[in-house]
Amino acid sequence: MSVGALRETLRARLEISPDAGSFRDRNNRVFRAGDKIFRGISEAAHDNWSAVSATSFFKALTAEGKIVRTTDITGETQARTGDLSSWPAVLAHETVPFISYPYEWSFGMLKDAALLHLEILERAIPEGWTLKDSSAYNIQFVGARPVFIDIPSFEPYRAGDPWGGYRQFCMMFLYPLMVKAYLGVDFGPLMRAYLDGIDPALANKLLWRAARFKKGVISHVYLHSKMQANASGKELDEARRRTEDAGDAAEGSEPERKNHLRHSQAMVLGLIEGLHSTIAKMKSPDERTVWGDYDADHSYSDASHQKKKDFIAQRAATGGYRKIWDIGCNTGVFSRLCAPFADQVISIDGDAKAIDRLYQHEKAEGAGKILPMIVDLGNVSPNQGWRGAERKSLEGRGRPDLILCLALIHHIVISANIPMGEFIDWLADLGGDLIIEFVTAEDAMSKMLLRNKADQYQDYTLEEFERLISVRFEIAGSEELKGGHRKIYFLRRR
Amino acid sequence: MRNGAIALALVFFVAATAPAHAYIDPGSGSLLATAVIGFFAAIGYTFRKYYYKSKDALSGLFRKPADK
Repeated sequence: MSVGALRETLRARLEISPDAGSFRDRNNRVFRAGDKIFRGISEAAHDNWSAVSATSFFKALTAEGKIVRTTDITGETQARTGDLSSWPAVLAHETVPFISYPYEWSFGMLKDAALLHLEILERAIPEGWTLKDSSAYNIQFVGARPVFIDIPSFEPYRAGDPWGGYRQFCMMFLYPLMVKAYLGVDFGPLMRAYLDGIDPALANKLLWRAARFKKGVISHVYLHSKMQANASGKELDEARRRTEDAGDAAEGSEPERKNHLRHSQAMVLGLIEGLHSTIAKMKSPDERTVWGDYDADHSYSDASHQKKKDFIAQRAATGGYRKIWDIGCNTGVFSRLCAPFADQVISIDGDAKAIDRLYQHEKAEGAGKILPMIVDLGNVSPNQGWRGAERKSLEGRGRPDLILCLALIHHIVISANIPMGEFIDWLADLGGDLIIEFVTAEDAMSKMLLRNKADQYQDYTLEEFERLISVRFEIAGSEELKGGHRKIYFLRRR
Repeated sequence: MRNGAIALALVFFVAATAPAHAYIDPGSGSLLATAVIGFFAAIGYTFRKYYYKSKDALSGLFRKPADK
């Protein structure tokens, strides 16, 4: 081996690390090396991969961008490096620019992810393949396009088998969508708390009283939860019999495996098609919002708004920024302004309606650079799940080169009561340059936020703001807006 | 139509078979639910399938030769 190749191998060995969220299916594990994604797979999973990747449905879905592009690199140098070498086979996946989680998706995003999952099943089963699970985390968004990423989830469909992923599909897709469509409740906080999804029993408690006659509730929620409760009761009785009250013969022996009813392909596909139809008809109550008002949700005159746009576009166009985060993006006017100059724009807002609006716009445009995400900026997605590492914090999934933080700081300081210095520290810790708009206490929007509150924000002044930003950034440009009630800054990270 | 009737009868055919063993627990109650919901869904699925097949066959039968 040449010195160059040895150095390359050593560098790769140091870089390759297992993904902390990929451990549930023992047949494979995801590894990361910088921007590259690899997947170590078992012999059985490799056999499946070789067979499924030759099928026409798989090739078509990959060509349509619905399944992540994947290549078999077994035997290549990289596959024999570090932890990857312990796997019999290795796949390389096209990288998803930024990982997002279902609890950060809007209604439209979760709905499209659910429909993609069902479409894959509908096209795979007639060709003799199925998906072994139905985790919503198996789908990621590249811009506004959902992509299925969990290749080892494909396994041969055996005639007579039920759809094993039904329960998980209900918990991770169907129930959250029902909660929003039928009750008008955002599913994000529920999905953030229940990482495995909403249990049928909880779904029944939430939906039965208010939405029992809505499509799918009696069958997929009520019936499902009652049958689950009944089966759990029986399993508990069996467990009791086998331990406390049973004789020596029963205790310690293997519980007998139940034979299940044979499920014809028509039963499985009928169930999947029925769910497809139910979900396709679901609508978010937010769709009734009058969007004309929402899009004009700023207090600028046209001339002043244009001045702000020019200030931002000039910096975004000339800075060579690849990754831009628009924090507090609303419906994404400035995200769209910057998108032509960057590889990716992460558009974040706590308002589910605004993010769904942005998603629908991006979907209609077929654009691929803007990833909309619902994140409460006073309570940003944390590290969580098993060992606090299974699902990563927002900052743990990537860092921006440039941050836009426009007309947000008054909400953070006055509404969320977060000290201005702490907020600026958080922005600086993200690591990029910053375009930030300061909204003075004299601005009409700040006054609105203060009208019902005791004014404890004496340090919320332009002078204090400039003092604080100067500690972490260098002021490379600024401009007064709205007759001095607002000021926009371009800051370079020190 | 006879084929359709046979297919429909097959939909209702149930027999003991090996259970699915995935790394996720499909849930005993959930599997029963899929059997019940799937039973009714299969009726609709099969009727839809044969309805469209018959429709295609009939429209082919009555199509003028010039349309072909």
